[in-house]
Amino acid sequence: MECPYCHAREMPGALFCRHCGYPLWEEVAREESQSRPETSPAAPQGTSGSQQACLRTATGEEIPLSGPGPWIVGRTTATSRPDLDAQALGARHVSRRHARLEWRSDGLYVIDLDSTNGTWVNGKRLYPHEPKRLRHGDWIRWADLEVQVVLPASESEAAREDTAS
Amino acid sequence: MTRPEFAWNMVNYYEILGVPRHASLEEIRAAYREAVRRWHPDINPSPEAREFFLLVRQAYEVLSNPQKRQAYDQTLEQSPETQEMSGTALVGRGRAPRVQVRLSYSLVRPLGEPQLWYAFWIVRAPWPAPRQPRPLEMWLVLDRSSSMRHQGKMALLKEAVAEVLKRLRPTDRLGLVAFDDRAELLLHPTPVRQRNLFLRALESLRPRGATEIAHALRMVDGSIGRGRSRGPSVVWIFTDGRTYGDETTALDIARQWAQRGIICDAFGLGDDWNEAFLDRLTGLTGGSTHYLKNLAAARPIFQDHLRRYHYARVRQLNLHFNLSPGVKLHALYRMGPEVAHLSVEPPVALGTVGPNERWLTLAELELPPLHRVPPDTPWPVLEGRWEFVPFRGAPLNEPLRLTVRVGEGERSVPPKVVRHAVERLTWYRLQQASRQAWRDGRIEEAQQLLSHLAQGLARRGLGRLARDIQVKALELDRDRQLDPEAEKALEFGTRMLMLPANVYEARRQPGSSNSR
Repeated sequence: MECPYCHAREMPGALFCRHCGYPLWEEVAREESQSRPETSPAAPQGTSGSQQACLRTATGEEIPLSGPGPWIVGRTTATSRPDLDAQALGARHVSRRHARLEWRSDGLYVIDLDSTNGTWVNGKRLYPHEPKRLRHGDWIRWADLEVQVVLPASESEAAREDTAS
Repeated sequence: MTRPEFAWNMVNYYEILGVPRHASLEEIRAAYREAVRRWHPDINPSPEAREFFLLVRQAYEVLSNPQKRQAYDQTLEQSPETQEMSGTALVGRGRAPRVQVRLSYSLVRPLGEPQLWYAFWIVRAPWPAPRQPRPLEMWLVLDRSSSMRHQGKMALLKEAVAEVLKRLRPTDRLGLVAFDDRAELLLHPTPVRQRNLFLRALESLRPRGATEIAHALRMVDGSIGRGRSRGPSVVWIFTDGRTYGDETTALDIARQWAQRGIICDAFGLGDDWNEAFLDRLTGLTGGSTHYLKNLAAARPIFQDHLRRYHYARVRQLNLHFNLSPGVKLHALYRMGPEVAHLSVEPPVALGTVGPNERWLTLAELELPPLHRVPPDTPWPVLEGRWEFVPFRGAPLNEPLRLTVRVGEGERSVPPKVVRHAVERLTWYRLQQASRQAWRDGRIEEAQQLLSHLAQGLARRGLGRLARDIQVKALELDRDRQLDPEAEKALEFGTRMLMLPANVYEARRQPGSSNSR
């Protein structure tokens, strides 16, 4: 098999590319799940062309998750510089360090950082510091800011390309 | 809630809090408070610590509530571990199995070419840890070659020995051997309570001569383990150099020690010691090799080892096996309780474990072409046994059999523990490949490999180490140089990642006092 990232040849059964560390098992799992006919959850409209994970606000504005992350969600003050400034999106009750988004081996996660007004995913409040895996189409609410998760078809590949640039 | 993947060595809440199954509520509270002091995100900001802290809270929530605890204890008896496994397991009846195995794939494709396949074993000791510490017979083999004069290595060595003395129990017996190109017996095994004898012997240590280790090992071999010891016999080597010409003799001695259940660990000082040789030597006996950078970094390592030896549950675990025709064992790594690159020639000594520890071993195998195998028949990969050697009495054997199904059916993704272990091994190898490329003068490639490594680490939230390595990659590009100290830091920095995460955290902290 060939590594899709660095194009080195690897033996079948290899879980990671030994030349670049790329998780080959994800590729195998994707191929096998694609060959199997399955109904995938309804995708939010107009996202099929997207190559990058992003968050979409209720007004349709897309906030790309660029770079390798993790991203702190919060509001900008004299002492805090979050990666995603909720205030700029009109939120009023988001904490300074409200939550964190990060890539893990099996996908994108959100973690509430013990915020005052909480983090909800699809209407359920998360415990502070409890990592929650996000799926395409999930709704996240940070205090009074609500966004939808948009993941590209090959989420981890996109994440890797981001880190490479 | 899913268990974070780093915690794969932790099987239950009791182990997470580090308390015995029969612990009282007070003990559980005390353990929880201690864990909070150590792992709270405010104190310890790393992602691993944060995840571990979540587990600690979960554990406390359950174990501090008598009803929840009772319900939980019942689930433990049923051992959910065995049910969620995707590979085949060797299961003793009733209780949790002593040996669990997880496979990269329990179903493999009938390919006309060879394929890689991974097995990860989690092995528990058949006997509990003793209530009283076992008496140790320990030998320290101290390098006093003339190179020890530099970089404060002699001072560090003396400090290290003093630290070991402090952590041994009065009734443990300690012997001292110094070596350069000859060996000198400084002190016969003597009860540690006679402290000034040791300190005086240390005083007399003066750097001189070359490095030849085999003489010293032979000297130790002459008397170690002769007195029907009731506890572990352990040899610790402290060296800063490369032994020349006597490697074969040294390795032969190590092989004999493995058979006698004598464990040998090594600590390298400075930046010019031969880690490949010491890895082989210690690996043969079930021991491990460490980088003795400074005393602060060494303390948790000494502490873990001595606790393990004092409360050792077996004298030695040996892995005996035969591979089926066409199967190759590429590599065997122990990833807990200490990391070691093991020999692939059976029998393989895996050393001992202490309270709440288990052996974690990863095998990388190459399967031959399987296209002629009839579909959906179990295909045997290897057979053998685990041999648990007690401190007295006969060894206990547990059969070992690995089989795989061959076919085109649907496969599940590899289990997390296997992915986690193989990813860490991949990182370690990227670092090794980079250093090799550098030595061969392929500098661009060396730099590229380091960048890949840094990206992989960053992707898993190991940002600080990723940054350090990215800086080294840039320096390599700029200066065309990789200094020996950087090489050691790379080797042992990535090796440590293979440790169970809580051990990794505890060892990472002391050396990195004011990061972030």
